[in-house]
Amino acid sequence: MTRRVLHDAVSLKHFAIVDRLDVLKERHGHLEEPRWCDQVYEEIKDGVGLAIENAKILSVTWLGTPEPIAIEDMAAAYRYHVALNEGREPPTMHKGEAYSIFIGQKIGAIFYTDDGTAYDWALAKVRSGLGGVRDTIEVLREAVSMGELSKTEACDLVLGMQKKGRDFRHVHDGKITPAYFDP
Amino acid sequence: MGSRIRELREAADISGEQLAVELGVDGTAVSKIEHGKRSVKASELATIARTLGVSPLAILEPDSLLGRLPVAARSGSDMLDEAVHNRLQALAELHSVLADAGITDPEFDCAWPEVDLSRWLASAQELAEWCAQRLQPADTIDRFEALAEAMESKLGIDVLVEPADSDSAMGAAITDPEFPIVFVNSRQIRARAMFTLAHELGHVLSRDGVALRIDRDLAGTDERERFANAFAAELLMPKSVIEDMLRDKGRNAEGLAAIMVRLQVSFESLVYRLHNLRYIDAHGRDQFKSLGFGGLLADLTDDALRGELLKLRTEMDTTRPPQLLLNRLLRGYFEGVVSARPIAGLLNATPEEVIAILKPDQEAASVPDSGRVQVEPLIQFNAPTASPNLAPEELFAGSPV
Repeated sequence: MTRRVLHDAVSLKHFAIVDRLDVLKERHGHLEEPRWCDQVYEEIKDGVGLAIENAKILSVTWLGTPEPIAIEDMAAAYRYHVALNEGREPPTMHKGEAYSIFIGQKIGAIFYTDDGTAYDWALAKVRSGLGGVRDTIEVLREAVSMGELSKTEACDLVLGMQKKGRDFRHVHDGKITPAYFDP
Repeated sequence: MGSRIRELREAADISGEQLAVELGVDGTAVSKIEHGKRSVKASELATIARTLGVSPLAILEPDSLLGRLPVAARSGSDMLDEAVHNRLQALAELHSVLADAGITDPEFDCAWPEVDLSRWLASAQELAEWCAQRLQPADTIDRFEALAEAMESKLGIDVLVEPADSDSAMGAAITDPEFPIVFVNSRQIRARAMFTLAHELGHVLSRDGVALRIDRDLAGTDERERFANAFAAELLMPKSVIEDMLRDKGRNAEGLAAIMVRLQVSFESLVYRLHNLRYIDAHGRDQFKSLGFGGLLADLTDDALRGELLKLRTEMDTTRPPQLLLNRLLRGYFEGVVSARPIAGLLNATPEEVIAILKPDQEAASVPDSGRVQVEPLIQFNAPTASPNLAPEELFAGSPV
């Protein structure tokens, strides 16, 4: 099966805020589309006026055409959205993650996210079709292992993202040094 | 899908133009959607559902549980209940996710006596007797929890207790047999919450065709409400217990307080019960109401009893997750059907905390007065036969809480 990837808004913003979306392009730009879904695209588009990194994401062409949800899949996909929310009110948050996991499961794509809860749930979906799940630290480790970045560059990128207020999964708390990017 | 959107829009009393504004399209686009001449994107579906006060599943699957729930109130004082409506709708959505994956409750014996609202009082009494035997909510330290636990374990009716706006509903219920669940607002005193729980149980058991019911107060405004009040009164304050205690403890402040403490009911509920058991007439009831809880307290000489009574008057101020749904969500989590968030939402925890507990090796989290009227004369003033000609509707018309 052809390797495919789907990016969540959180991870795209991590790279956009340090002007390094090229790292993702290098890793995934050559893969078959889709590389993101409609809901992630809309979330980024809706926030263009609020965050400079959103405009940077919309300006790249390699992400390709966002994948929509087919009408016949809407009920099933909406149930994913429900399953990724707290159940206090009809869901509005985490739409991009939920729909990415739904589509990723259908096409066997690897899902890239830094939302800890979505990551944890996506891991469980791997046994039912999702191609895998990775976060920013893991994609940087891949880049290091392929010689696209040095360990120090990868570490500096993450520290730069953190400095600009971006969060990572708690498993990485307090561990970010160049050695953390050993393949 | 289009005709369903039109049907729900009209039920919500929202014009096509209003919906078009919410969608950011012109009015003709809504008309095209409703006539099946324009498709709907997932994001538009969410906006349409939110505007109409329904779940998207109510549009996509009209025959489902979500399709049977009514639209949320969008105007006037009913808007205060919107949060409660949304909470129950969201829990019904979670039920739908779990049921769709085959994660259901165990089978329960649901053969309770059929309710006939045309003879609501007799029906309420029959059902309460059945429940008393089936649920056995006898004297316990925490009668509320005992009843809630029995509703879940013996009838398959979930119970959620959590704070909502104090001006919002006291209680609510999804009465649909596919997913029966009772909500009790914990921002009310314990004794009042007890009656609310039993009242909502009455609604669920009556299967009166209203899939979701929200009770701002418990006034006996129609036969459904009178039925629920009569059922709750009969279940929580059985006539035989009231009779025995009044005989043993006396028809005085001490006697009334002893009944309230033993049955864990409010002063208002007990007065309501004394009235509908005909121990007091409407005049006596009104005198009791003007006496108030403070008056009863002032009339007591037993300090220990007064202390017990005051405990009943404290706010619940607690959260109790619905156990059946919680168990299904835990199964769903381990089967990959739901994430940790719905569990966290029921437990008032963070998803990280839930993951750390459920998968400890994988994801570590770093993370009174005016007692001017004497009680004794009032309770002795009326015998049980004091008002034999009053219609049941009058006896059960007031508010018991």
